[in-house]
Amino acid sequence: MEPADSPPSSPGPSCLKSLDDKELVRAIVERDADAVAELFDRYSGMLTALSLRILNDPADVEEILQETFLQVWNQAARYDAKRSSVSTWLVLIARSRSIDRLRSRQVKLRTATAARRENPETHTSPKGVGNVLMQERRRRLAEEMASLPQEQRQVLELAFYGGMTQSEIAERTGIPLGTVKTRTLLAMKKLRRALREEIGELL
Amino acid sequence: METNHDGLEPIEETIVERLLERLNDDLVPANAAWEAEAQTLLREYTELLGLMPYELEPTTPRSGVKQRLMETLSGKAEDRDAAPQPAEAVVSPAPRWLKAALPLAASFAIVLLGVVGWQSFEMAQREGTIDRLSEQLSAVNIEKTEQLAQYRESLERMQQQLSLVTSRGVEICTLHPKVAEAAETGARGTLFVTSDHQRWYLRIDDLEPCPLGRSYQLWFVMADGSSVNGGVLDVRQGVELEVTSDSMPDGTVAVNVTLEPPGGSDSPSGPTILYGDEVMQVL
Repeated sequence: MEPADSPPSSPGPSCLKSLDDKELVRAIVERDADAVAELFDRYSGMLTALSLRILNDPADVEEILQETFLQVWNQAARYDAKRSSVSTWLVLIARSRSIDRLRSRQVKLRTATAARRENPETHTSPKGVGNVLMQERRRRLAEEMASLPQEQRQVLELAFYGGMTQSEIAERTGIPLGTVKTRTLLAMKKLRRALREEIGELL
Repeated sequence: METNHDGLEPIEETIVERLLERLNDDLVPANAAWEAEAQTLLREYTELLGLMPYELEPTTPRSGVKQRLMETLSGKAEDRDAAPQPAEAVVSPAPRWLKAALPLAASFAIVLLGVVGWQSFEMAQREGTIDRLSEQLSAVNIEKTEQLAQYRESLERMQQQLSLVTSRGVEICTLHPKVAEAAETGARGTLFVTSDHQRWYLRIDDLEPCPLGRSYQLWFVMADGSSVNGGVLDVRQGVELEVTSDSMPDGTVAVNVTLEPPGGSDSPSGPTILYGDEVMQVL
């Protein structure tokens, strides 16, 4: 996979670029820092966007990114391929840390539209052949998320990006808890069916 | 990949809720005792969460982030290379449940100590109450025992009196008032004497208590007019006077009650209050 648009990293063996994600994690277990750099190149763009979407604070986002990859460095041996793909593992670490930071600093959650409008200068389109896959995934995700009914997308975004529990969502929106649960489940089911091919690639 | 097991509906809902709410820091354990379909569901939804950020435009981190990361890792690597070290232990932060459990356990211990202390105090209080009640019960028992003895004594006396007054050949002598004052109050006496003239029982009613500095005294009058002391009578207001004895002087022909100095006299000196000499045999 080609790295995202980033300055030349610390010199690492070019063979690392030919390794898949799991092989990179194995290299990290062997204490290969260059493998971390390669993983950083592959996923920092997405993880930064995710963290920014949650926190809306570039300074916090940088810390989250550091913490995420430090956790990868420290806990690579605990990665279990049966539980998730490497990219999902990274997403869940970054999301969890971002939500923890969100809760601890009581950062106000803004709408997705406002967050995107406020940070146009950080938008960078990835380049390279290797990003075709990512671009395709992005297109598919955007397509399927947009096809969700607004009320389902709302609760899903509040849960995923806002880190809110279903009870908190119900309290925030005034929607009955049972309705929140139903809409969340329907949204996830729909996405799971629609993205079965993409999910299959990660299994 | 599609699973249509109806029984998985609630599991599916639980999976979605738990994954979104990060109820497991490191994902749901892969060794959960669920059916294979549930495990598949879990994995698929986990990957779905991993795909969701792809809808966002990727954002290049600000310059220096990667460099700082690599410097940090290099520092860790150099420290490791500088001196032989054991395999780097996985740094696991204390589980969240432990961080929450310790203060909870401390609070629980404090509460438990307080409860134990309070209960000990309560027990001591109750033991004291039990001791006091036991003492009171003992005192009541003693009092009741004494009362019972008195009742028995009284009953025996009454039985004796009944036996006397109903004995065969019992004689009755009525004592009448001899002075106006006694007559006004209706004072009277009844003397029961057994046929052998030994045991006797005297009952006096409505006799006013004697004046201060005086006392009533009972006399057995002989045929020659002499009197034998029968004892000082303790007359109380509203209380029937009963006197009994197992002996009566031989030759007694009459009985009277006189008013004497305190403690009585050797011979009648005061006025006669009650007098009776007519004997009637009842049975």
